[in-house]
Amino acid sequence: MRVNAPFGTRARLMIGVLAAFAAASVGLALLWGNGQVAWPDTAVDWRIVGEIRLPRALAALVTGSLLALAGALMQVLLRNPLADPYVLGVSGGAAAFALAGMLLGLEFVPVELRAFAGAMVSSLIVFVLGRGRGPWSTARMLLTGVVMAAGWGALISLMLALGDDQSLRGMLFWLMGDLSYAGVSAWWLMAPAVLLLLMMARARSLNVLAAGETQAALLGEAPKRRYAEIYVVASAMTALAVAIAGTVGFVGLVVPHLMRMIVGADHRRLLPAAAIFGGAFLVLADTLARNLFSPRQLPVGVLTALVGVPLFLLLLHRSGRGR
Amino acid sequence: MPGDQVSSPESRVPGAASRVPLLEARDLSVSIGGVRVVDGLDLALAPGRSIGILGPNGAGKTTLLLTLAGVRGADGGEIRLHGTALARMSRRTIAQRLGMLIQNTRFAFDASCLEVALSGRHPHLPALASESAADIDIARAALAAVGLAAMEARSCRQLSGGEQRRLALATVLAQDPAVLLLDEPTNHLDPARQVEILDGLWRRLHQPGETLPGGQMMALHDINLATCYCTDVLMLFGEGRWEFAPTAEMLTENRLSRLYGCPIRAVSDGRQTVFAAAGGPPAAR
Repeated sequence: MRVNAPFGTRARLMIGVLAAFAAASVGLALLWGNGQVAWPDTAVDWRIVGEIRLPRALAALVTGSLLALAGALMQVLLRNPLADPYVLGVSGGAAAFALAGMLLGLEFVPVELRAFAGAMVSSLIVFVLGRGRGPWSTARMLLTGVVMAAGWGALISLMLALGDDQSLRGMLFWLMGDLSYAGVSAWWLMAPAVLLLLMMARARSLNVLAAGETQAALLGEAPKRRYAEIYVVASAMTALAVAIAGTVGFVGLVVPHLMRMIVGADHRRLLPAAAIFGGAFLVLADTLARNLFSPRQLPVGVLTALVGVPLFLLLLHRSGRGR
Repeated sequence: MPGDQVSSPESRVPGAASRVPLLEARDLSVSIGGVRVVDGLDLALAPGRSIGILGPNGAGKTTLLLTLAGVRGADGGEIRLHGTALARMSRRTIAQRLGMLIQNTRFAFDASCLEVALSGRHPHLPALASESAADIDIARAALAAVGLAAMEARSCRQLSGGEQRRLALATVLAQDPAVLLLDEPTNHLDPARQVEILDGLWRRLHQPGETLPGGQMMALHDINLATCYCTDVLMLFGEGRWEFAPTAEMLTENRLSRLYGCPIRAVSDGRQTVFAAAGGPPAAR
């Protein structure tokens, strides 16, 4: 537990260590491919690194950051460390709307916007139905989210079956999350950075909101307005992540949990730590997914789920033991 | 008490010398689920006063406190904080002057006790500011005041029920409001802690040299704590009826028996008068 000021030396040091770790994970992603780690020698090697591996590593970095931040925010909204955009069906909603727009000929609307609409609709349903009071709230929230996720999954499968369009990205992308076709320019790093800065301006408020609506109001917050802001930003983060990598699960669960153990629960440290480590986590997961069974490539969502599901069950088990 | 040396200018009140009550309810009516529990309440909390709220379960003690704190709507009437209508003040301004200990605090995340107590400084800090060394001192003093000084690095989720209660109290003490509303502050506490905490709250109201002492209102279940620590008593009978007067006038066998709907006896040993429900199996009463 931290006892020093929120931006104390220790906190800065931890953020620095995490940033170095993220840089190292990108380095590994650039050098490790086709099952072997090798320094690029030839011009062809360099082109592979620069034009294939780098954009993909950046996509993983951006997606992981966004998902970890979205998870941390949703955990405040629902006052529950089990909240995650994938588990709650928010990613599913974003994917379903993105896909539906394509099939309905709404391609003039950017995929990010369609996904944003889906994320907003889905999280609105979960937050309205799932924010019960009392001992049932965890069960209620998870049930609502899981059922929503199942519903979106079914819709996505239906659309893919009926759509039968070669231009559509595959089932794996929409249902599991896959970075195989993903690649973004370095400019995309601005997306999590800007959204992180927006939320950092509210970070102390997030600490108070995590204590519940009444307590937050008593400590001088206008909770309804803050909840609305967080809801919009978390939906936007989820939507951008889904547009890049499909519905990658559990990053928003695993990363904030680990970061709370390292930097504590104060959101002024938790948010930047989650943004940095979230990116590194997904870069590493994707690098492993590419190389573990090379030349076969796993969708990255398989790996994140294999890490996330046991942790989810462990947290659920603990939350059942009283306080 | 924490913060009296370091309180920010806006947390203390303009016109301290004036006779404006700290908190005032005018013709205030409050309902729970369509049932009127407080009807036309007129009440003023003056500096240095400690008002106890007594009433049977479900009489609306908690609801009234939440309404007075402005986090729950009233049916009618007006609440004034330092002479200004509560409805016209921002949450932040209210929180600089009025704090409330709620009945159930649930901690969802593993923050340290010091971090939780520091959250009491939230309304006093500008949006982008971090807590200063002075704020940290205030939070530490608040933890010490509730006997949790040694636990500042401990996770709030590893505390016992009584410790969690005291941590919540430390948070509102760190907030250092002029008006303190307390919903069963002694819940979950053993007798020694009850006395220690209420002594501390009493001292807070009677700081020597304070230009404007604070005031408090607390919902209590223990009549005997009200006799010791309240200058005035508000009784809520349910169905909207209420009575409000100085403690000595309010706490009588007759009135308490009416309030709780069961015989209450006053037993005196010459030093102290204690109230108790007439006990024993029905035949023995």
